[in-house]
Amino acid sequence: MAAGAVAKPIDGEAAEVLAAEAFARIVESHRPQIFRFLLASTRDVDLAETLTQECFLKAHRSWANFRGESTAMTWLMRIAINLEKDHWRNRRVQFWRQTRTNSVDVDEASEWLPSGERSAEQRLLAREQVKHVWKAVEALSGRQRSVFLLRYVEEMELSEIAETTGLSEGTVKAHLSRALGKVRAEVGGRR
Amino acid sequence: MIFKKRQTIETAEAGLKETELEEALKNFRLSVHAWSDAEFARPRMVALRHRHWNWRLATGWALGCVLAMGSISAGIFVHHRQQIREQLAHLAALRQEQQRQLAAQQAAAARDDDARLMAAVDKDVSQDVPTAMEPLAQLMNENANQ
Repeated sequence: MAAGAVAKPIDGEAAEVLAAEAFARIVESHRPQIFRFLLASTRDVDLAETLTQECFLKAHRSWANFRGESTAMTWLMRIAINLEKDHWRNRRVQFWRQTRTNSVDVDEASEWLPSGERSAEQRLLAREQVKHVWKAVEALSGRQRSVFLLRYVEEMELSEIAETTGLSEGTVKAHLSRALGKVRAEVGGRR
Repeated sequence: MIFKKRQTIETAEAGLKETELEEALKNFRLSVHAWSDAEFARPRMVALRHRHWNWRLATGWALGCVLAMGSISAGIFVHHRQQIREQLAHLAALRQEQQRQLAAQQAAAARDDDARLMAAVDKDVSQDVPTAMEPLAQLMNENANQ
């Protein structure tokens, strides 16, 4: 009986339902990471939220074209980077449309520390370190910042970063080295 | 010996710096994660913000249009006023020229009238000289000619 059973072909409606379910799972699992990357890139909570929504909207529109050649995370991160780039480009051209920025300043961003078993002195030191890293990140170029954040916040491998940014691994290494040099100078120069 | 000692110190310093950098990067990562987790968990009213942004955009556009219209109207008004001023100046110049010509004509006419009057007086005077006085008048003319 079981041997004679033939797998029933999936009709169009069922395929759509399955695709929607798969996409919902992708959103659920990757949304925090995309939001985190955009938040670190812009330091603007509202903007990060808006760009995250746009990212998933765009991903949903082209979900049917996603062949799975790269991981879903890499694909989504690439969309997020392009959206962020487009946002700054549009903003430069149409600066008069909205002059006010909602970006949180470095001091405020440095206030965030995980609640752990740390002494007051350790927390103060950690806050100072975070502040200096933020300052260095602020001075990085867009590409250097993306590469740096993908490596040191999202902890992605160099090959993954290369795939996400569309750069070669060598170029990623070069950007990362320059970014790290600036961070080192900022962190080391505070003493 | 001294060189070796210095090298050891430099290596130790570099190691310390790298440790510090690693710690800073770790703290940075933890900080971003903590911030992101807190913000991600917070409920947000995106629709309201969007509407607010639309309202602000509409106000911006309206203000921009008003400013543009104002600038254009002011330009047209200034241009129009300048044109009227130029026309008035032209008319005034024409009127002045006409008055000047009229005055010149009147002056010329007055001069002609005087000459005509003097000629008539001379004629009348010359006719009124009695015959008995003519030799004396001739003598006076001769004296005047000399």
